[in-house]
Amino acid sequence: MTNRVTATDFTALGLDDWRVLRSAIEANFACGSYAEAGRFVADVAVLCDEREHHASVDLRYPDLVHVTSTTHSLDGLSNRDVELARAVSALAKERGYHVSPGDSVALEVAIDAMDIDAVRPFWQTVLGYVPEHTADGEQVIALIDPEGMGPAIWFQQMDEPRTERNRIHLDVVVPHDVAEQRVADTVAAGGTLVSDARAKAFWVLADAEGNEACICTWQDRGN
Amino acid sequence: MAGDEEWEARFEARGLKDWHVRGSQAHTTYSCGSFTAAGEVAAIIARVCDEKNHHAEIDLRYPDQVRVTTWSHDVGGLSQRDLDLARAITVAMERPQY
Repeated sequence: MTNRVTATDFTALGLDDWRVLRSAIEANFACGSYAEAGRFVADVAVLCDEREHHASVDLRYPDLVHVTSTTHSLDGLSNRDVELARAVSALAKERGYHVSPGDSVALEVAIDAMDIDAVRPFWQTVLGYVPEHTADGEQVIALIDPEGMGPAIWFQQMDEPRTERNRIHLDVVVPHDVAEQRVADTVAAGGTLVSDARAKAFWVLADAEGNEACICTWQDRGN
Repeated sequence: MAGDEEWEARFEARGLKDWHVRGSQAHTTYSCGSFTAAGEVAAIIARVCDEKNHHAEIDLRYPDQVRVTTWSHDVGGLSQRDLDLARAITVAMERPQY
């Protein structure tokens, strides 16, 4: 059985090693050495095979294992992500690994367009990306790297051409519990808060020359 | 500094034909037959990285892939250390038990 779990429900479960970013959950484990982190990757792979639910697992210097889990058939989270997260966290706790959930980040690039269908093929081709569809397969949500490495690209519908500023901005997706601090830090680093009208879904910030970035979370999106 | 093509030729000259150079980084992908087998390969590569004191990025992806990326941060591109690491990883992967 695969049952949808909302971001709100997931966060209420108290699996504190994990944070919801975009349509996935992510966790970071510091294992003490690269070789030890490699052992953990092997053990996580076994947990994935046992549950027939396969996370993306990235090993990074000096000793970090970054685990991302999602349910592709739902373009969101399910009980299968919850079960895998529980198993991975139990193993990490047994080994005494350090967790740093606040460090997770996902990057998206947003492109303003008057006619999205007219520009999307250009971006899909130049990047070698593939479309990401809604769960019913009807709509394209974004363009994504089929290898799961580069940032997702999405298109923001414009009603009139926006000529006064850059028409491409970055969406920095962060854990919900670090977002407000990140906004404050960014303002302190020379940024301007352009809009918090849609917080905590996103805050719009700009650098000193008006280039924009949004700090985004799963919250306040009706989920 | 040598370009991607020249570096790829250097990898090939050391018998590292499965390594490709792109954007001043060397990449290879192992298809391991299962996710569990891929996890074992990731663990072996991590150990080789520690032995060589040079740490590649290692990514495990469904259904059975391990993707390895190496470059030398201090030179902003590839160095002899990347060639040596790629060689050591390739040798480790050729051992019969793996």
